[in-house]
Amino acid sequence: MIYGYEKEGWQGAPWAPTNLVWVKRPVYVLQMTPKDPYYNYGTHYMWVDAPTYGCFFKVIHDRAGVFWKVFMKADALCESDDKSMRYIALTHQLIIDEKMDHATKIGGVSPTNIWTSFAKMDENDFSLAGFQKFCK
Amino acid sequence: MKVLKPALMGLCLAALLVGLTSETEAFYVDENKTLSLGAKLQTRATFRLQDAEKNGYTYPQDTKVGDLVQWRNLALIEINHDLEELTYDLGILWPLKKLEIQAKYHLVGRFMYEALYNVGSDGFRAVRDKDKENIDDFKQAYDLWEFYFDFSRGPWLLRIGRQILAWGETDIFRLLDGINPLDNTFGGPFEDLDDRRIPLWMLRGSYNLGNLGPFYSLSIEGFWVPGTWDAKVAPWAPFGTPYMAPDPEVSVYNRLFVNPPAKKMSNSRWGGRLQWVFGTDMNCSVAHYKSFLDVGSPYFVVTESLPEGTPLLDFSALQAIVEYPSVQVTGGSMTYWESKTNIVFRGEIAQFWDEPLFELSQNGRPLLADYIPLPPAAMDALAAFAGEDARSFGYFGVPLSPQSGNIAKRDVLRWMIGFDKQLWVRPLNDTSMFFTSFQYFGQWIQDHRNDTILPAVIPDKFVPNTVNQITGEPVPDYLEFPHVKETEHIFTALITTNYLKGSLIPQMAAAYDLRGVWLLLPSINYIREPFRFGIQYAAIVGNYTSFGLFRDRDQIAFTFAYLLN
Repeated sequence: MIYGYEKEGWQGAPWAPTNLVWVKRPVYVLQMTPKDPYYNYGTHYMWVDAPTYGCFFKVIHDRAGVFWKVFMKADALCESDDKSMRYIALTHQLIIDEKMDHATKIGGVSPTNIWTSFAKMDENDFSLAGFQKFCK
Repeated sequence: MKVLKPALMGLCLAALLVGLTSETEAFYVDENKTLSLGAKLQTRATFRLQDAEKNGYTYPQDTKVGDLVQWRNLALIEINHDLEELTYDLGILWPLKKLEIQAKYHLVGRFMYEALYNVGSDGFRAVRDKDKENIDDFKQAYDLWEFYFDFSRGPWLLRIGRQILAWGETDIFRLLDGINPLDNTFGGPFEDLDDRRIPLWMLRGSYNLGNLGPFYSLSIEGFWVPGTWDAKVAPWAPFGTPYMAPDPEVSVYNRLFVNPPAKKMSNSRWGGRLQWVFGTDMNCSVAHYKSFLDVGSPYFVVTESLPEGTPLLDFSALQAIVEYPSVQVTGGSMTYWESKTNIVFRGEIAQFWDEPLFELSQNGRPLLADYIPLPPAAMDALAAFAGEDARSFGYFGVPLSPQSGNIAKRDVLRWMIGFDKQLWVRPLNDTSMFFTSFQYFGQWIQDHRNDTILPAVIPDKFVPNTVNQITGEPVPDYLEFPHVKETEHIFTALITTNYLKGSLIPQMAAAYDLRGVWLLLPSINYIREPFRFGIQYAAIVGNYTSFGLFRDRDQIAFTFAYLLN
């Protein structure tokens, strides 16, 4: 993903994704209102990809019903060379606060942001006996 | 100079550690982050908030409101080292690599210095002067507090060394969590349970059995504390120290002999536990273990062998012996998270087999002996000469061939039912939830006898219509004890939250014994990394039983700590 501030000569908002491609997909649009009267969010709408249940887009209002934030994210479909392992990686998240005129981007794993995990996993570690290894 | 030495060492240590880092991230010695260093430096000053009870057994008896009763300085240095990287470099560790065994070790050094006996009131200084060697040994310690190695491979884990093992699901009071002894000498019921456990040299292993039908994560665990390695029990607070159990000095402490378990194989602690997850939300365990109770078991003996009908002329032959018989415990525990109410339910039950108790007819048998009556004037003269009055023990004359007692033992069933819940109380805190926890503890002594007592003499009791005509003093009655009923019940509650993004943590803990005793422990802690500041008020009100024995020791404690972690 290339953001506005990363593109030479860009005149728009610096947080704007410049090469994000939107495609038409079957979606559910959920309208949600918090039950907790102290919760700062009011009604918000979430676009859920119907085949994968992935949530890609969200519009958030405050309790007075005034538009407040937009959230969007991008996933990448990954595959090992021998095709033995496939998974969906969260690559980018962007939250735009219109009231504050402020945006936050979170960069996940991507071809330009390579992550390496050195963790050695043992299934036994995720058991009642295994937890004791990590307890004093 | 001797006094200054530990303080100087503490200052140097503090300077060194503060210099190491000013952040609360783990401090790693090596680049690969396998060796970490942590530390806690803490000082605590505690002041008594009430006078010692009149004619009571809290010492020094002239302790007043505002008197310093504790100035405890503690330094804990912690090292954690994962040896996996070293197995590639150190030939001696090659077998670990070859056998694919993960190894690490954990070490905690503890330095403790109690300054009360040097800077406290005249009364506490006198306590030290009277028993200098014992108090000097009691007030400072330099220990290898914890030191163990972990070896693990797949489902196996073996932990060898000095360690703490806590089983069960209870807080404040212990049922299945009776493996390590508690140190009640520096805070007693006012001190957090986790800070009181004493590590033991132990072998401990566990194995993950995996899933079996509806039981998930089935695991089996066992421990063994070889008696020849470690047979330590809860320490006995020296006479006159602020948290000692109340008892008359002359008649009890002066004839008290404490016999802790000897270091021998028959005094080994051992036990096993099976744990599993039932469904998705219920953790269960069953366990059986052998250990020692924290409170020793006193009983009276007569050191002279007296034939039937022979009078006991030497009253010093009547002695109180404290022993620590081992106890076996069988029980189980569960926790269950109920998703709709978001409540964690906890339960625990434990049967203590042959638990030592104090029954007057057994432990206090010599006190029930017949006597040859003497006129009051003779008793007065004898008491004035000996410095103690036999009438306090019920002898209105010369005891006739009293026989030694023994430790009474009964099976005791204990249980706990509790629940924890997080909830919002918006008018009080609109940014963080409140954590609440409630527990009910029950106890049933099987085959209970009505003369079962707590061996702690009720203060301010006197033998009716008896005044020593020589000294003009009434005669204290040492045969008035708090009785232990067939069933006993205690409730506990805890509520806590945080303000200022977790920096300010108020907490209220309380316990109520149905026999009419309240324990109240409000506290507030402030965190400004890497420092901790704490104030805790502690009060006990009510009858003289269970934790009510400490009802004249209300206090306020100020704690300052530095953490490197």
